[in-house]
Amino acid sequence: MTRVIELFLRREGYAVEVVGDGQEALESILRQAPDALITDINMPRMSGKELCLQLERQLPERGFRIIVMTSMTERDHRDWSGEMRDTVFMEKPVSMRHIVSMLAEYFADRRAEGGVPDA
Amino acid sequence: MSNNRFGAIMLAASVLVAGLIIGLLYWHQLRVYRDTIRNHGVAMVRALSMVEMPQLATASRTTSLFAALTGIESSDAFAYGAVVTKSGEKVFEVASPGTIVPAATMPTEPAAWFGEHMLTSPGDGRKIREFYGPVLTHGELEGFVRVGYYDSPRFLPFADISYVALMALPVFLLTGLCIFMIRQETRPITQLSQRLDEIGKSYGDAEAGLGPGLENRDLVRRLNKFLHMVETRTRELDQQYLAAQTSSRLLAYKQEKASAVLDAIPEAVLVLDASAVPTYANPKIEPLLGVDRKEVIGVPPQKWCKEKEVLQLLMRLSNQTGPVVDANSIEYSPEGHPDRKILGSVYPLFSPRDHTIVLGMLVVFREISDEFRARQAGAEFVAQVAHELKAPLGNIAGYSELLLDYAALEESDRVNAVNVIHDETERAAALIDNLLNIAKLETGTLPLRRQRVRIPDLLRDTADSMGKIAATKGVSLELKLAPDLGSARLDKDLFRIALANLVSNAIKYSNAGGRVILSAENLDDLQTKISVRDEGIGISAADCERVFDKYYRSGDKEVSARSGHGLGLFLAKQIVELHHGTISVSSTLGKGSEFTIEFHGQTQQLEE
Repeated sequence: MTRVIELFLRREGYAVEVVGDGQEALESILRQAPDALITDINMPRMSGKELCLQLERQLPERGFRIIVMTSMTERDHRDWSGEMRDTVFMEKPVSMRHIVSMLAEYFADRRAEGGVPDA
Repeated sequence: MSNNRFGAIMLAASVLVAGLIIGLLYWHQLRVYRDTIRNHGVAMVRALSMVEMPQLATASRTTSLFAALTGIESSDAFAYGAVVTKSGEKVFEVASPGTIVPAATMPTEPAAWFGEHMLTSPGDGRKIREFYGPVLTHGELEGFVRVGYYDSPRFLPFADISYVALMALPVFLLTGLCIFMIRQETRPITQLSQRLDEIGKSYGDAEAGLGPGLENRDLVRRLNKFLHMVETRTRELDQQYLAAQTSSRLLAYKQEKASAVLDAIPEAVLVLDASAVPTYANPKIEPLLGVDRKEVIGVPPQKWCKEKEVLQLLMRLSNQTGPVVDANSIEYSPEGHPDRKILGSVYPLFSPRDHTIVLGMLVVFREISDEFRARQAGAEFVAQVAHELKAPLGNIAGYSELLLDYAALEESDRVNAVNVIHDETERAAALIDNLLNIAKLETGTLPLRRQRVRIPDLLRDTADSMGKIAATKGVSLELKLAPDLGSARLDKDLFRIALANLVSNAIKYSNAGGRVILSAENLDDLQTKISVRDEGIGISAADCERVFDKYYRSGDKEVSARSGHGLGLFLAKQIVELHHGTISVSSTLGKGSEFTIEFHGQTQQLEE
């Protein structure tokens, strides 16, 4: 799954970093904040939910959007999604084009607000 | 006989008796009289006979010895005394007034000189007994002396009348008393007879009431009739009683049977009246509602109902303005048992005679925990399937989207995308197959179709179908078959699935260059053993315990790195156990695993 997303995004010209689990992701983000995060829920060591909550706690000022891919519905995550800012839930199977267009919009908006590097 | 006739007879009898007594008395008196006159007569005659004629004849009345002697006789019996010559001429006579001496012939023979004979008085015709004797002078018969007495007294001896009366009176009195006493004694009987008559009338006796009929004969008849009626009635009542007893016993038995049936019903049954107060509860109330049936009957539900939802339902139904005509039901978990589910259904109870009248409610409680769990499991299963399918679908969607921009892709990417789509499709198909088989197995709708399967062929087929996959992964697949393998009655398709799952696991969890060995041999105890051995990543001891569980996947990194749904081994186990076989695993982490199936296989001798 990650491969196809990576392929797609690379083709769009984004720089993509792929990690294997939530723990690695957290460490990497804390090292260097990305412009956007795409994460699954079911991951070894640290789940997507845990990752999001940790980010929210540790990086309250984070400036990037999180996209959570889930095989359940957004409603099923409502017990913790309320705590999250700027987080989008996408139901699997995820359409690549949808992600790409959403990211494009997102970055366009941010650029309009000012202060984001070119992708 | 009637009392009156009885009285009459008694009187007649008493008169008869009195008459008899009087008669006897009279006869007795007569005898005495006659004896007396005889005595007198004979004595007189003899005395006078002693005297010689001249003395007798000459004396005057006053000086006559004869007169003197006869003068003594002053009783009425004395008729006369006379002295007569041989020829009958009267010499001297003394007679009671009004008496005429009758003539009589005198005997001539000396032997007959003393005697007596009966004469008739010429005057009044009365019988006279005359005694006579000879009068002698110097020893020569001169004449006769005759003394006559009346044979029967003229009147009754009056002196005895009072005596006679005295005799008769007690008899009469006694009779009268008897009659009276008897009347008294029989009065109750008469009354009884009348009473019987009345009873007879009330019982519809046609002959009754036809008249007083106070005769004893009637009494007996009526009594008999009465007894007969009573007897008949008693017999009727006895029969009715027996019938009633039998009927009541039958009813009791039927009721007991009905009770037994109600008690045996696996659901808890409550019968409520219109105000929701229980009138009947069966024993299953206790385990399902947690109250004893005795505590419940006649007690309003607020006092004993521990379940809030049930109480709400009951109160709502009992407060309804109209009667309960629809069925209602609720599902709830009993207090303190959140894992259990009970279904409570309320039905209206209609009167058996008139179906528009509602007598109350029937409430039935049924434990549906298993059903509920099954329902939930079913829902979970569907959710699980959907969830499981999302992964392959996600990949297919993603890579096919990539391919939409076919021209812009590099060759390697294109090939990769197509391969991934192909693999994922296969995976999805395999998954759906597994899930369907499992579903069928669990609901028992998977029929086992046993055929005679040659074990070597079965294993060869499996090896063939798995060969390509093994080769792709760089794993060698070996087949080791014992020479004496025969056939077994197995469901070929299902067994193939089981074996395929084992072998594909072995290949999946082996590394490149590893070996997978599929072998089969006969055991001593008529069992056949099939084993799949690999030299792959192995299974930890803890995981070995759970590896056959549904959806179980080890948390081991090596395992999660490889795709899988945790169903293959579960399905294999189900299939093996359906064939009454056993499946087991032994493994060393990092070294490899061996899965063994044992089943009753050797049918070579039996069939053929």
